[in-house]
Amino acid sequence: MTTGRWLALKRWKAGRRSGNERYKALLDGSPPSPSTDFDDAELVCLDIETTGLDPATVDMLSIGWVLIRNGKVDLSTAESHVVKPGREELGDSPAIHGLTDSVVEQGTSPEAAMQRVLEVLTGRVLVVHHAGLDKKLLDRLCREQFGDRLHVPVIDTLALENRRKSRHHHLEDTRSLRLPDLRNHYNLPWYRGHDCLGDAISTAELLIAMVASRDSATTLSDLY
Amino acid sequence: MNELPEITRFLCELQGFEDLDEKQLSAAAKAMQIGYYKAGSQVLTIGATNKQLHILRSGALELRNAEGDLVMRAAEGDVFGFPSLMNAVPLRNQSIAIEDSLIYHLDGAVFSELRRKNDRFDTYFIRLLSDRLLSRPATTKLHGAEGRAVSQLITRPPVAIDGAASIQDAARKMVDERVSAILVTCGEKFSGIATDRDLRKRVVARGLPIDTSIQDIMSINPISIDADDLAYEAALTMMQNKIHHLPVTREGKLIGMVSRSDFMRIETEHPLYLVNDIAKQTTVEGIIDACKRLPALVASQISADADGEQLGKFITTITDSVTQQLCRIAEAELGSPPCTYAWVALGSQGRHEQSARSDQDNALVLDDSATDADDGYFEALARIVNDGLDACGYVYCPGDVMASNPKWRKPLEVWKKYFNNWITVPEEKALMHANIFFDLRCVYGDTGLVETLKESIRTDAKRNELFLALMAKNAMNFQPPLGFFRQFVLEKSGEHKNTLDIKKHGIMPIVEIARIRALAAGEVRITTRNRLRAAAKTGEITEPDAASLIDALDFIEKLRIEHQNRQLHAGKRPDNHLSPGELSSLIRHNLKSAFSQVSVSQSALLNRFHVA
Repeated sequence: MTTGRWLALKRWKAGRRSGNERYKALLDGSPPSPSTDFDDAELVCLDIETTGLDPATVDMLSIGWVLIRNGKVDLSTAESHVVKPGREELGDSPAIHGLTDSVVEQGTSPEAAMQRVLEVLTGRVLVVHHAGLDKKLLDRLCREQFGDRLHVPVIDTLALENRRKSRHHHLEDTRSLRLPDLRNHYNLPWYRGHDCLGDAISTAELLIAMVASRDSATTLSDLY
Repeated sequence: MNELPEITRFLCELQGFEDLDEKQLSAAAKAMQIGYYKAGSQVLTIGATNKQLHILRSGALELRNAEGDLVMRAAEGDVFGFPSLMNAVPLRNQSIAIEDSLIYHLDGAVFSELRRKNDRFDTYFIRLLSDRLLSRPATTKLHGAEGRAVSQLITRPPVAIDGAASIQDAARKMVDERVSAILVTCGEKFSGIATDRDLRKRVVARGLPIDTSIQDIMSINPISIDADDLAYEAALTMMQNKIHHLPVTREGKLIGMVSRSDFMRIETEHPLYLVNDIAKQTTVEGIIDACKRLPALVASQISADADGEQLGKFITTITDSVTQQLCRIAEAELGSPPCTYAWVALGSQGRHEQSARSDQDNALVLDDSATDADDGYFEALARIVNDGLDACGYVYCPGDVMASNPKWRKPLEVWKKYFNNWITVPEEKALMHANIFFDLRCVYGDTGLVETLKESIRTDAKRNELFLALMAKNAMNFQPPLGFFRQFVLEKSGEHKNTLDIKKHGIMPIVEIARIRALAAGEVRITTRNRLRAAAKTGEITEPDAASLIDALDFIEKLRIEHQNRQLHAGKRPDNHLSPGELSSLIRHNLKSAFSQVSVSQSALLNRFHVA
């Protein structure tokens, strides 16, 4: 079964179960079909700062995103939210992310943040670097709040580069797949990193660079 | 929390942007799109509309004009695209990434808003624009308001009053003379200025009696400008100081005043305004109407001392925009084309060398995927554009070298065969009619088609001596009429209408020599002067020979311009026929040496290709 049809089926099932309007709207606003040209699709590049590394237990500290439209990163759509943690005490990470306890205390609730995420993702494609963490966390939060996981098409820039490398038999290539190293490979400028909006923009730039580096025209299905 | 610290940190270190406050920087950051361009890809194309300011974040790129000459090389932090954005005209240069580049595209409306709100930001970009206009190579410099001396903007002697006069007398004089500002003198010297606004703010609002003397309320020692300064400096001074009037002095003596409204009046004469106007038209009638301003514009360019090269460039720019807009109108009427195509200008338009009145010579190069059925579309398109050009004053080509002729409306492959035939199995007769095809330039559509064609011409022609020899032989059809002078001297008076076709006998011989020399040198350049310079660089023609031919061309074109200007002023249709009465003995002498130079160069050309 194709990604598109499989996704449609899952979405339909999830929609029947959920009572939440926002969640239903996400499922009703169908995402762009896999054959859509990259330049014609709207994509949400997103990054989350968390209290730890295990998506099953961590909390969201902040979340930020920016849209790609017409093949360009559109900074007018850049948005980020500090999120009040649900359970865990703040560990070491605040020092890394520059978020102090008091800033976090003034943040939005995880529920409100998720509502906004669903709104933005409606009819669009999600882009993350390393879906293993961020997408799993969104799925978990979504399940806790709406009863099912987040059914949206996902592009993972890390997995994408991994596949590209193995396809081109770069066996000797032991280059790191960390965001800053990949950006360097695509001649993108150095970024400070470690704030969610900055990382989201960073990921967005990486994706348009990857698309521009392909030999042929790119559709969404080339990127899933 | 939607701040973009990474972006604003980069912006605030750029010239111009460093003057923005935090709020303005943040507004700029949020109004940007980011694009990524692989090395070798095109970022902006010539002729496209531009609604953004472009900032190179990382990488490198090159700006090249239609001739392919390098205009600017941009590095990290450089801005580009501002001339077309600020003047609201189509892009004049193409920009190509020469390294993988990340580019910030700032929304034009927000850019204008920032200019309105922040004077220093505004001034920085106005100065950048002036620098670009003034530093432009002479070949592309357009003469307009900003290049004139301030003294040329003055329309009347200064309206002045003695400082001891009453406010009421001053106001009366202002009403009588219909001015909004009056200069105040103290004996022989100029001591101040009073404006409508001063009367409002300093007199009426304060309830001063009307017999107060004018020197009590005037602005003392106002900013003034020297008559020989350039007009754009006057505009800049007024903008920077937020004033509307500027006294003009020469050697300390008051000679007049310019106001912002003088500028508005003169600015509409700027050629770029006409280009802009044409680009706004949605009907053929609208374009025809806009073209009616062309003769007056040409006259004003001439009085601003434009030379032949500049004038040719200027007129061709207008023709190009007329052509482009007609193509757009045709596409709007006919729907989108069935395949890509290129509208190609030939002859003088192709060479950027049109004069006040030129015929149209053009063709269509279609993508190879074009089918016979598609031709109906392009025939209709060609008709609309050819008819439109004719109605605008670019009369039909007498030799039917136009896109509406099915022979000159063919796919790329057929064009390649045409040229290959002309070059590899040359026939004297066929070549005589084909020579203007070697001056081809894409005006609208897919530039790539024309570039491919030019490349195949370049490689074919360079090696083919027989073809070049026949071209050289054909060039002899245009001979400078040295006999003209003898006859002229003999016939001092009488009925004999002894006129000289200055285009056929003066300009065309040089155009022909340049074309053949460039083809032999494997050069794709297209204006006559650039062809000569390029051929000299490769040694195909000697440096002094090239330089003398360019001088001769400058001189002959200048004669033609003056001749056509006289006709324009007399309300006549410009032509190329000079009558002897127009030539002073000095000019006759110079023209004779110019013609001798052309003769010498023609002989050298014949020798080069061993043509007897």
